[in-house]
Amino acid sequence: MASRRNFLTGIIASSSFPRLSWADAGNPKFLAASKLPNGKYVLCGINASGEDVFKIPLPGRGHAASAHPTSPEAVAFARRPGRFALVINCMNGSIIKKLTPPNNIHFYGHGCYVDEGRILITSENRIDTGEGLLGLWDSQSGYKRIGEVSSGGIGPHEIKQLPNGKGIMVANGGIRTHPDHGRKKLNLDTMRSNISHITSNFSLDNIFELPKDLYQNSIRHLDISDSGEVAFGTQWQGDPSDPVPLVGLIDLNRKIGLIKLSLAQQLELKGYVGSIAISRNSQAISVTSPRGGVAHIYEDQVLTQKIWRPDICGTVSNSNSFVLTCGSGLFINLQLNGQNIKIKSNKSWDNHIIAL
Amino acid sequence: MNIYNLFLQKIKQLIKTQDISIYDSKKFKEVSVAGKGFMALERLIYDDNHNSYKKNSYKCYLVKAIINDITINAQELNNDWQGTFDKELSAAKVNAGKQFLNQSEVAAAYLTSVLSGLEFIVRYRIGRPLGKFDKTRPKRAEAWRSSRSLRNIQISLRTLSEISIKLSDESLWDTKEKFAAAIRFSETLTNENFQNIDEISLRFQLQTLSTLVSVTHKATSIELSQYLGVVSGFNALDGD
Repeated sequence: MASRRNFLTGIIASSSFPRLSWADAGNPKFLAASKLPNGKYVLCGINASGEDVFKIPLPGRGHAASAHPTSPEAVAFARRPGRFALVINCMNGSIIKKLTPPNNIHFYGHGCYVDEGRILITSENRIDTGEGLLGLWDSQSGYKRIGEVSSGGIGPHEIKQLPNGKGIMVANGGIRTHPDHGRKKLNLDTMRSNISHITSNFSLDNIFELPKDLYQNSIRHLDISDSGEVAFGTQWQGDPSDPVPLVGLIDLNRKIGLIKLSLAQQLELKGYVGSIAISRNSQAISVTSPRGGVAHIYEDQVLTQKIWRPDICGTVSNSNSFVLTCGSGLFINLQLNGQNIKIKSNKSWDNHIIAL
Repeated sequence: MNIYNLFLQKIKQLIKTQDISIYDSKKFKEVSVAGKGFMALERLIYDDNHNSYKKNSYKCYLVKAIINDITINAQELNNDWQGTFDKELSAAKVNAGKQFLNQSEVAAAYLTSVLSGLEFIVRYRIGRPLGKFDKTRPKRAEAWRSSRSLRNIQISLRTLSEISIKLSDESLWDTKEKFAAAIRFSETLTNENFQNIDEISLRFQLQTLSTLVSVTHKATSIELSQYLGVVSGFNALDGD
């Protein structure tokens, strides 16, 4: 039988107090990690105009963040191979929990909330076998680790949720690394990347692979539209002179395809896509190449706009258009008509930006 | 497909269809980059399978068209540098329509140019032919048919060294020293086209040169970056 105290705690937790929301944290529209001019790293809440709503100190360089869909909580991931991720209270900057994976497992830089924020999924590597894992954490019990499942490949990186409770899509980069060797790639000759579909009960449903001759094309980032179309971006690990396609789509019929570009357009991406975003209505895709210093915007799979900016990397859909961020501090509010609004700051925006 | 085969494929296609755009420099500008530039030109002059053709033949006009196109591009680049680009660089300020929004973006563009030039030497000009220890790839050396593989590296090193020094007040001691060491070492090499890369001694020499250029890259990225007050490649690390 529940004690009186437990009973009261339950009442308080469930109804007496109004639940805190992102409005209580200043209503940020986006989250991104950055480096300040003084060399310190922060997680920023950003409004629609690109201005900071809050800045929370991070212990080191961040890579990506995941935001709880309703509560003002965010998880900041260290760059891979990371041994910790921080769950942050975005109202006051306090650390709610430091997530540490079990021994023999490390994080791979991204995560995703599912089930209305009840479960946080993190991309992980089992060190001794190189098996890709998804770590599962229960946000309602203080982010207790509740288990892990196979990611369906090696080197899982970005994870995104499909609409209507259809589960998640995972970009398995295919590259095996070991913390003893830092970021060194251990299996380039035999690697095989894929996107896996994991159902809402965490079972592997399907695997999408690129043609065999593109086996060294590492799928690392993806984004999903409101209807469930998946756009993905790759990083080419083969001969640096090969002009291979780096951007693709998995359509609603679940066919995987690549966007064709001219040779010159292909080469300007320098074999490296840093981030990708698809507009909510599936019409447009934004792709960044920090190495090429260029972002491509595709509308109906046709390249319609290029944005040349040094170290451009973060991109996220903003309704039916996009926001882009640069290592140089630039925040770009993109308009598909080409009238882009640029906001300059003195910080270096990190690889990724997410929307709330 | 490998880019070098793409060049060959495009040249063959132009020849097969006798594409008339080669007779008009404006139309030739529209031809895919695979069909022009130095790599295509080298094939048509130095590749024994493709360099026997008569005066005024289609191939002969194709060579002229490629040379003409390179000349026009060089002139345009030069005009841009000395004209619009020069003005944009010196007047860079916050202006949404401009290429550079402020002076630090200009500095970052210069820094990135120098660093990517050095990266290109390590990754492409040396890394591609080096391949792996048990599988060298001499035919991947840049401009090996015209025996310019080493020469292109030397010219590039000298130019990048000069740009780095001119961008600073000559105070980049470590950078200058590292550039000088890499250039000096490159001048002791005698194999011009890296075709004997299977020989341990040449392989060792190229690996040493690669290390010296990497060390130069490191020194430049620290010193020049500090001098200019900007960073390069914050977001371009492999695999992020």
